[in-house]
Amino acid sequence: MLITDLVLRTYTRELNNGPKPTLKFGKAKALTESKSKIEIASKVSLNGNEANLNYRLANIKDRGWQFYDVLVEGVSMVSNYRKQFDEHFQRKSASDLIDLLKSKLKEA
Amino acid sequence: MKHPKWIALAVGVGLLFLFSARSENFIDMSNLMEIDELLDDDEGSNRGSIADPLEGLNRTIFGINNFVYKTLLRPFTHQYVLVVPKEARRAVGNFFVNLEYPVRFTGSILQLKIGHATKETGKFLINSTVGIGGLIDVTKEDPTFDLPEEDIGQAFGSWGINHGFYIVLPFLGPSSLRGFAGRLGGNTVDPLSEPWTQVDDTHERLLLQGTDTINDLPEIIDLFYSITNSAIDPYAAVRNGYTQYRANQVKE
Repeated sequence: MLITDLVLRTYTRELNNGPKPTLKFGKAKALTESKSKIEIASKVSLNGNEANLNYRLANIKDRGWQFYDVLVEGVSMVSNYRKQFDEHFQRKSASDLIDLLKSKLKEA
Repeated sequence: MKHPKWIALAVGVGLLFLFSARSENFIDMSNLMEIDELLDDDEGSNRGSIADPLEGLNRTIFGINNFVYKTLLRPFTHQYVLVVPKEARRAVGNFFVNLEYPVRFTGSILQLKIGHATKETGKFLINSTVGIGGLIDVTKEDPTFDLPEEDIGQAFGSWGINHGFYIVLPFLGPSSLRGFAGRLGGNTVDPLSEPWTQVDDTHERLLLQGTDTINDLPEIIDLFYSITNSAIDPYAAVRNGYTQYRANQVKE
């Protein structure tokens, strides 16, 4: 998956040689009444800065619990990418997107 | 009340409560979701829309900002981080956060969050005295002083004033008409900025404001860099990120 590689590479590059962040986990909170979706809060600190990082998991048929979204300071990465895809497909094609991802990966 | 019927009824009601409370602790295994419906009812997955009638102009300014950040500011902030010790940067950061207390106070009052406003005042008094003029954030470890940052733009939002539309400000980056108006409102209560500044000497004032801006830059630039590098459409990514972030701040 091109998009997975791109996200991983850009966000982990800083961590390669630097100090490791510390993580503090909070309580899990149910997102739906059936409790098939939950959100786990965490705080990440690195170099004296702290950020809220929340994970969303869903209990999916035949798959079990899986991560489906990450919120950085309340900003959902999934919905952020969704909006970007919307914007892209209003003007360009799917093959344009693949080309773009490939060239971005080379830079990253 | 000692009639067996009443007792039976009472036990029945009690059991009912117990069961309804108990069943809540278990995940309903018969009701697992299909992968396709994962994001259907998700609060947040469809969030972050904002009108953008000036998109053409905004994209141009975004491009220029991007260029300035990457070619001029990033090399500079890298040097700044190397030259200035971490503790000094934190002290400078604390100092300016403390100084912006009037902005947070006014934002809280305008949202009628009296408790917040009181705590902000307490925090300001403690940090200004025990914290040596705000250089040390004494209250940092105390959870009662861990307050969401209020400002005037958020107060407008809580009054139900919509964003208006999205604007990218030269150098400063994303805002909305509401945020922009709030920023101007914030300037009137901020002790550093015009029109009602507490620092009369223009030269000194600009120096102070510059220090504040520069001190915060490294993190902002790095974040901006990560977002735009991993984005398919960096402009849309930042616009959506801004909208989501502000929506959360208003909600708090």
